[in-house]
Amino acid sequence: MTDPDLVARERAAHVAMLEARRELARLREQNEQLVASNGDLSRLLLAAEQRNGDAIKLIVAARRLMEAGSPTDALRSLEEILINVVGTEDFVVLALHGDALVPIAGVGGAVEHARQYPPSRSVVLECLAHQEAVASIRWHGEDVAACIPLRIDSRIVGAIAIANVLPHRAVLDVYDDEVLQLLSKFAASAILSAGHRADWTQLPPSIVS
Amino acid sequence: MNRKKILVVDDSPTAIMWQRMILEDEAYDVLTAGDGAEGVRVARESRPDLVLLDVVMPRMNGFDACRAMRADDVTRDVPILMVTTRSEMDQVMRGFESGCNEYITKPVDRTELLTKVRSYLDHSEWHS
Repeated sequence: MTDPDLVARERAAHVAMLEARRELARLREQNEQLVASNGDLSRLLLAAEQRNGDAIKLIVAARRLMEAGSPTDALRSLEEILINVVGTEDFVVLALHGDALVPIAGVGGAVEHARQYPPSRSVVLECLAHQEAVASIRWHGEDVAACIPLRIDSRIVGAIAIANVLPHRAVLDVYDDEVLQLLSKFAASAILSAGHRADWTQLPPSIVS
Repeated sequence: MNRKKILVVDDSPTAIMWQRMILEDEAYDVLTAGDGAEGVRVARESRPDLVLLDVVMPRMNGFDACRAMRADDVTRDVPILMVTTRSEMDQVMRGFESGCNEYITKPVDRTELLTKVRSYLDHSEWHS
């Protein structure tokens, strides 16, 4: 004969075990959701940190160009941005004189290459044809990693030719593109305005005079 | 909590500005020097918790500055991270032979810089 109390206790234990299993399943599901959510948040954090780094690149490039007190300073800043922010030690900055592009700054073999084989206006026109800030071109039979037209408004007044990026950098990527677009739009204006600023012995009476 | 002091030694104002913005954003105090000789002097006077040292600089290059800091009792144990455009093995070896702890290549990646800086500063905090 079965003890009624024992049966009741067994039933209660069985119910408790079922409840515990349901709770375990619920907690497992919740844990899986938390792991997935944690993964999503980690990816978002990583992307935000990447964007933060990119934003700092743009701020540094813009501030260094704006702060230049003379065209020489502006060109030096431009060189430093290309070395330290973009990552190249083989590039030349060219200014348009008539139909010729004349080297005015740069680092590495690209400068000598530009002197030996002055690129014609067609190099810049080739950039224009791409309708992009950065275009891949060939220059006297050699591949150039990037050619960035320097603009004032819609006019092209020069170019930056990056022959090679640093060896440990694979290629220029989308993150570099924003910096190069900034240089394309504002570097020439910065060089010009730095020249005006250097000529001022005192501030003009008004910024609109 | 004491803010950690980091000395950035680089002859490029652009490189200094970039590293300063990244580090100050993370609540580090940043000191700067424009060449190796100034870096050695500032390190001795200010006793930073960590040094970020460029290699190619006027007056005194990064390798010589690193050796000078290691030879000085005041700066002997400060973690030194070389920051350079050169990633070739012989350059890396020269850096370690001069006494640096770590190597970072330019252009500096924000995440890599902060990870390496934190690893050395956390390590020094653990042992202090």
